[in-house]
Amino acid sequence: MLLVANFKKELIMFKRYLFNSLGGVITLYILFLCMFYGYNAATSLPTDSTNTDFMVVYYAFWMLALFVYQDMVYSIQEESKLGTLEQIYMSKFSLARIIVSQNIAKLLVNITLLFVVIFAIMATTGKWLHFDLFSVSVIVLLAVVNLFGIGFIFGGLALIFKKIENFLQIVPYCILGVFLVPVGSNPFLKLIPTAWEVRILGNIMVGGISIFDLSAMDWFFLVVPSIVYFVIGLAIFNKCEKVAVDRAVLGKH
Amino acid sequence: MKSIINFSGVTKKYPSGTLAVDNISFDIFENEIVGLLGPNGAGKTTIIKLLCSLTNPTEGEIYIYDKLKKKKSTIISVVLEGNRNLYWKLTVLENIKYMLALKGIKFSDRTTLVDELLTKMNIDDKKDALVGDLSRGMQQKVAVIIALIDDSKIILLDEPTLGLDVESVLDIQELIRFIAKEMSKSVIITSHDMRFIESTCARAIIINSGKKIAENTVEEFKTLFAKKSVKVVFDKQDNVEEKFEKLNVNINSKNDSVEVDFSCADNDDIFYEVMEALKDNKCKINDITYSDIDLETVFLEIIKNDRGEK
Repeated sequence: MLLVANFKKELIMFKRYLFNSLGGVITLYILFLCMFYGYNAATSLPTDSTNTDFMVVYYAFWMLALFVYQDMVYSIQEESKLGTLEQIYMSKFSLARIIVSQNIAKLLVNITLLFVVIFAIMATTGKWLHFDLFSVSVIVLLAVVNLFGIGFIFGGLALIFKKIENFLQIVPYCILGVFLVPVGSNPFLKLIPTAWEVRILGNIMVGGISIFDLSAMDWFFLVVPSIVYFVIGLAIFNKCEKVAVDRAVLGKH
Repeated sequence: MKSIINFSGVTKKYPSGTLAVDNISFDIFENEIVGLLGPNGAGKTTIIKLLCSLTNPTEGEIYIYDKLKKKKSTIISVVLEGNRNLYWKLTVLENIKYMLALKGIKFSDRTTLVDELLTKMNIDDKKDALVGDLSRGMQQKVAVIIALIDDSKIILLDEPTLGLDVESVLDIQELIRFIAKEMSKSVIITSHDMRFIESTCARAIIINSGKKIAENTVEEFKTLFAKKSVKVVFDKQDNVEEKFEKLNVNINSKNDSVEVDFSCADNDDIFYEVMEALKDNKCKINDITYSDIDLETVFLEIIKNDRGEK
């Protein structure tokens, strides 16, 4: 019921502010084209290079990651500004559950838009990636669980400190850095949040592999960090919630 | 009457060191309307937040239906101060549906009640309007309706008349009476609007500097003070005010007359002293009345006494 209500709310907002919503989609598309052709011009790589294939995947993943943690923080800040954060806190569900539900609803809308953008990009660039929906969905789900953990940490800090934008500025660059982590050189690097997911996603969409081709160790590095980061993020969020309640600052902004 | 809430020796000290609530105890009974009064910073909103779990007590316990409250209670709904209870970019009906879902209640189970309350509040024609486009009074009505449509037994209203016009205040007043009488819910109101409290609440609890300094029915408060409050009006004479300045009275000098107000709450000596001063100065008395007292005057008297002011 909670998820359905949040999904309906997101659709209402999407439709009510359609111009702005479509503006977001167009911006994503244009930004990618700038990066794609800019990168190719700068590196003199042919547009049919595998690197540019990976670029499409990484760009999509980057956007997904930004959606997840930014939405979580911004929705908490927005609710706090409106004053509705106190109302949702007093509902029968835990605050974490409501925040997750709100963000899953947002993510469903955003992922749909992201798919539209990816297909538009593929059509424009002529670079058609492998789209094994099941494999892609499983890896994206694991990455989202991982990212929710990170989002919870920032969301928890936003509950207490309200304005944390200056700290958030660094996160997009950290995510870009994750793409460059040489995960093959040291297995422990696979424990970096989403580092392994993004590589596997690249291998699925560019290399054409399936999740059924993954080894037990691959699954270990996909599943265990996701769960661990989610649990750690949730624990920090709950602790921050307790501090915010003790200080009575949930509704303050 | 059965106690729904027992606030027992509750203290709230914020991590900053501010003592917002200092060892306060009171009971809230079934179907009653109680006013929580106090000057700014007295601790009223903190008490509201403690009741609805938006913050936790440092010491003391809160019992609901004789059970120790350890977590959020679904029998308490709250409308917080100002227009921060609603999503401005959603319509009235969308807000109601969403808030119901947060409470785990299906809209279809409350359709009749929602329609009834919207009609009662004269906003049934606004249900498809964006909340952000509504007047402050209408937004407040919507917030109260949302607080009413769940299964709560206690409604907390923090400054419900703040910024409302007279007509909206009367509508809210009528709704509050309806809540207690027809919906069998208890209502706790914090407000600076003493007339509103006086005409809405049966009982009042007065808070100052985090402490409870008085608790009584509104009528008892007024009776207690009205009997002891005297106003004397007499013809003005040269420098006559000086004769009364040494007495513990309020002097209001007008063009032709002087009004002297005083309270005989503690003893009657002041009455005889004023009469003697009038006699000594051969003042022509025009009127002597037990002044008509309202809750605002009572409130100010109590707060002044608590501060040790004369």
